[in-house]
Amino acid sequence: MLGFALIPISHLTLSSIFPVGANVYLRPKGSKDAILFLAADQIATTDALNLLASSQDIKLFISQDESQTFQTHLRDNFDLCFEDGGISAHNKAAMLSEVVRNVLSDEFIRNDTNSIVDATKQLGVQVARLATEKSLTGAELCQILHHDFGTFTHSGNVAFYCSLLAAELGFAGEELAEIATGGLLHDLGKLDIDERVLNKPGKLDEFEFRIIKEHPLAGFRRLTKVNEATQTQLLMTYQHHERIDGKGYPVGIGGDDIHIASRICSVADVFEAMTSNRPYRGALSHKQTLEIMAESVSQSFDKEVFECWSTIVNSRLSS
Amino acid sequence: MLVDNRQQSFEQLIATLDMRVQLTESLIESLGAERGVTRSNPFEHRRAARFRCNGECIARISDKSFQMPGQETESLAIVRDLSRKGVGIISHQQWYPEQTLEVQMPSASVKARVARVRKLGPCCFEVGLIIIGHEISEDS
Repeated sequence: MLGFALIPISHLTLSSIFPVGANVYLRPKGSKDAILFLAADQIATTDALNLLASSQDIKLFISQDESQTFQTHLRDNFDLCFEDGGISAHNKAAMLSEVVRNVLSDEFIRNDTNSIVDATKQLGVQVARLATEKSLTGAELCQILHHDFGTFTHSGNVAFYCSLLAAELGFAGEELAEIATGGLLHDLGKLDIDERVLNKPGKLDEFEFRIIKEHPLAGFRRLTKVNEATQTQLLMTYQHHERIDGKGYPVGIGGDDIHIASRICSVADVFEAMTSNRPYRGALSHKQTLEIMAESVSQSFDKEVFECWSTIVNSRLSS
Repeated sequence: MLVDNRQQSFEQLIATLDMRVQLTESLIESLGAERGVTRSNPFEHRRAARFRCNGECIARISDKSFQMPGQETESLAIVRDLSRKGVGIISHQQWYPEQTLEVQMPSASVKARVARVRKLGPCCFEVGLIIIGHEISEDS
């Protein structure tokens, strides 16, 4: 019996090229006790990783006290994965998705905008880098990502989708990383919204809907106080609920007055929300989602951006 | 005398700027019809009564380090309402929350922070500002 609290981690956060930075414990199915699997300075062997990947019964944990060290270590070392030609794009995406989820969940709980922007900047570079890997299809990415209704999961997924879409539309380098980070930050204002409203299982009443509609403004306000935030990220946060016909919020601007990164974010945001489980409904299929989005494309989205996203997702469906 | 000078310099200044606000039909009607204290809806969190006005002002950005792409630093706008805590203007260009503006009126200038913005039509943005500093003429 260990004398400290454990928190679960995904086996995808372990790598065969750098140590995990925290002691990793293992609990086989049916066992109450966890045993030390990997010391903080040890590197997992490829065989061990393969075994973990093939077994549903083994759960991994770290000490709650080492959670912060673990997050920082993952973030700081993830770049090494890109240098290693032996790791497939699929595995990199799976690992990065876990890193993004872990880091965002942790940072959103801490609720310090400076720290969030700092962490997301680094993650944005990695997400953008992954999006330019030719061997990764939109298909694989959709499969790899989690689809629960946590704001941090949603933000992570939107960042991946934005990057893939922006890369396809011709963005590269720093601009692409800026858009990826913007995707991670776009719902920052939801940290100011009461969770009872955010996670309400039933239909929102007028007052609750007004509260929800405050989040782009709240997020923008938070970001204006951080020097590191770029104009693109400010605008993605502020404008991702604007509609191409000018009937969105908070301002009601339309067409090209909406920043291109916000138009990208809008498509990614709606697609992600509809294909994820929500408190009030289950996830829709990609095909259903694209059909529903296509019905309102001329009112809601930039047509070119939406068609590009359809092509990315359909390439998966047909394969 | 001070008021006269102030008014005169204000008029000279606005003569150099173009009024580019395109008022919507409903705004034209309400600008002509509404006077006095305005009503608030239950969703607004207002701490002071607002008085309808209808006059020109100059909106000038105070903090140039927070300027968004395509924004002019100074433009002619319409003062829509005024209260002890805030001022509402109609501008042809979009301003952004947290930007600090100097709103210069014939007899007073206020420094104010943009709270919210809503587009009413082409070249027509309703901007709500919170007053953070006054500079009112002594004789006004």
